[in-house]
Amino acid sequence: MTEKKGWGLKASPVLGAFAFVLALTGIQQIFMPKYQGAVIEGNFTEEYYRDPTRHELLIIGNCESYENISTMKLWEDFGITSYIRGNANQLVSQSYYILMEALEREQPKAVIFNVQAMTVEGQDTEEYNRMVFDGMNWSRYKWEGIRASAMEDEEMIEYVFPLLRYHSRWQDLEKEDFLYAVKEKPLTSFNGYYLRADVRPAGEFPRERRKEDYTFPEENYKYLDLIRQACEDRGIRLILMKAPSLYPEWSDPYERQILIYAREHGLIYWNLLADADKVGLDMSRDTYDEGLHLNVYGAEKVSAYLGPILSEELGLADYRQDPAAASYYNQRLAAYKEEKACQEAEFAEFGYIKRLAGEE
Amino acid sequence: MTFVSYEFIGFMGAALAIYYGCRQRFRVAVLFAASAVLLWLSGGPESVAAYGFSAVTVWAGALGIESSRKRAAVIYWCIFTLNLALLALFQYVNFFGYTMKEIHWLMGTEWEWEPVSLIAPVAVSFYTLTLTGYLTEVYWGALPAEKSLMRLGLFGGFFPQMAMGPIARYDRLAPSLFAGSAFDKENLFQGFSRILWGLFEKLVISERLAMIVNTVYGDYQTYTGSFLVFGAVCFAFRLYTDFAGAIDIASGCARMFGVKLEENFRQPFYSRTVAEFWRRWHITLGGWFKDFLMYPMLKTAGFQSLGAWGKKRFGKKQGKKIPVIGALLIVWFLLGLWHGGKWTFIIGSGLYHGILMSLALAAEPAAKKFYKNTGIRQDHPLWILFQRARTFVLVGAGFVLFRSDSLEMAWGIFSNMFSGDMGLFSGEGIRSVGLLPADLAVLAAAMAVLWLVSYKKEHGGEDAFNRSFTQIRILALLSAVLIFGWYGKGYDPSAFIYAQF
Repeated sequence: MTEKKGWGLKASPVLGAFAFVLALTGIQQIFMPKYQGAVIEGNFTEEYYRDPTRHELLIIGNCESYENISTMKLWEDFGITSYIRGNANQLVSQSYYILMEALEREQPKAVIFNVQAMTVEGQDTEEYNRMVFDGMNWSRYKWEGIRASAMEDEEMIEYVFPLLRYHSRWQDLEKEDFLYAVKEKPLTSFNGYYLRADVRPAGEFPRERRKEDYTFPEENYKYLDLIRQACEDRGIRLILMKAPSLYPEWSDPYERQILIYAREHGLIYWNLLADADKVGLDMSRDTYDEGLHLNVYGAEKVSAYLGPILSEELGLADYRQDPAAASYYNQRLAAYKEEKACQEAEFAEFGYIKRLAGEE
Repeated sequence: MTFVSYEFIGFMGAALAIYYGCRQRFRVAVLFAASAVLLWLSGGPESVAAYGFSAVTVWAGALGIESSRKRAAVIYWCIFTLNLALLALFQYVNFFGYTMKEIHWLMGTEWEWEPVSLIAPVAVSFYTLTLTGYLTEVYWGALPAEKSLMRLGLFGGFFPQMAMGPIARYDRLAPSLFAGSAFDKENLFQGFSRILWGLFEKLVISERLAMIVNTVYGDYQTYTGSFLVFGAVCFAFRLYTDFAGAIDIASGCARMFGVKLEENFRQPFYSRTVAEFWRRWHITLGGWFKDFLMYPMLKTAGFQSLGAWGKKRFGKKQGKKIPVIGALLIVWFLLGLWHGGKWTFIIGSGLYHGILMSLALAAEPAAKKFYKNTGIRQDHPLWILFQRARTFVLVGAGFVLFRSDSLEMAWGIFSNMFSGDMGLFSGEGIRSVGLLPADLAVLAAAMAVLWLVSYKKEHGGEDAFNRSFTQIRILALLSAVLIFGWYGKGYDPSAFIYAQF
């Protein structure tokens, strides 16, 4: 009897603490943003882990990488297995750590790095950093990636315990927050590709203010070197690419620096902005935001253009006959077509995509 | 580094681990080192040097006083004046400018002036009082001089209390501070509970109230009438929860090391008179001024002869109050000045209250007559409630001055308060004070908890309150702070109001 009481006394604080931590974990799950509305990009990092296949091509970079190449088109027409590990305003350092984490899991034949991020010095807002890292599994790459790119008012502990960051969402919680705290979220990207089937023709952009110095930041060169080194060490072909986005302006000094870098290190460089005609892009119909990013029609053209190069010149294999890959990719391709058709229908009927307008 | 930062949590964890991990005889040294490190991290080498200078001069001065009673007065006044001069240099460098500005405003003229930007050493106002209080007690022979510079340095600079008080008295703090307490679960639990309660006051209540106060006072020409009255009520509670929160965190931190700090608040809003309010609010500051300034001042020949003159002029009973009133006004002027060189501080947290207390003192015979004639029972609950409300209004009016940047702003707030605007009571009005409805609901619930706790303390004492921390309540409090606390991205709750003094 006495023993029982003793156990009870000892066990209750431990059990209580355990129950409390469990409850906090549950609350944290609820409070984490689910990115199911207009902004879905916050899901992209974590969705990578849900793809059971391995990829011959990885694409890294910021929005120019995940909005301008259709991974599904690469599969459908060329059988290329690819994944885009990109996020909004993903910095070069972040691309490096995201790539390194992926290389722990798989060995692609080629990596495409979209070079627009080379022009970016520092992060604009903390939210972008959170979208890159919140969904990333914990590893030394996540730790180092956060340390490398955290803004001044960011705290590592808020990444370790995201409740400390998102606690103030208690008054913004929606149905999805509770639902997807216990249930797996629907996939929002197609192997990292962000599908948009609406159209807004390219317009006139204001001329960008002339800068005194167009030199890429040292920090970005440092991480580009690390990306290159990581690929070289593993026998992976690194390709530099400038996506065909009209804005922000890709100035001649930027182009020269990339050309020099590519030449010095024997890298392939594709400037699809310069080759937009060869790609067959029609900016009156292939962009959804006046030329900043391509819509699905433009992205499919880019994929159609790159597919033969990737297959024939870089030797990426056709996996369409591989049962494991085909099972997964065909399923995603069907979802892709369904989503594309749905968005096309909505755009035709309303002139906009309902999800983006905050409508169910 | 302030109490509300992840860094401070890490610092406390490390300090506790080292403190309890080392032998008892080293524990005082650990606390001293931790205090020095925190002072360095918070204020840089300048703050460490400034504090070091004060501590060394007071330590040496006290030893000098004890070893040579003949020269004691000279040593005492030199060290005392030197330390006060240092305080004045940093705190009152703009006093003349502020004074001229207010004079010109009263005269309806302009005064163009840029305040001198001088960064004061961290906690200079607090440790100057702590150290000079100790020196005075040694000078009076009430305390033996501390031989160890490290112990004296720790007494004045013990990190939980250094920045915002309570203002320590050597004989009360030393026993637990230098005991090198052994590990005690109860101390840890009680300390942690107290810290959580302080965080609740600061992050859940005070920061929400600050939002309202800043919205309303930030645009007092637009938010008039009921909004400004509401703002004044909110500021009184904002100041209380901010300062009492800081003291609770400080006391909790100290308790985790087995050190017991003095209480600095005793449910001030339960006070029935302004004098009682100040016996319950910032108790250690009031105590310092009373013990080291007011009582000695009343014993001086000048005040004695003022008393004699008063008795002749106004009779024995009322006449003996004259020197007390004179001393009250001087003490409260200096108490206001301690907060800074602005006249809003001097009046709002000083003179104004001194005048109210002097009036109450002078009106005692009239009050007695009033009670006799009306038959009002002074212990009737409704009368007590009325007195508490009256005290709150009077003190709250002083806080409006305290919160204002200048007398002009205070005047603007007071005059706009009576505009008759009742807009606050419309749905749109309450939504326009800077908080979302959900936040207002959280604030209301948290204020209810604050009231319950105050009630429990008032009727059961501090110990009853401490005993009421059960594990379940602790977890509930922790959850409330974690979820409803205003901290993290977008908020800057780190600056406590009293940290600026």
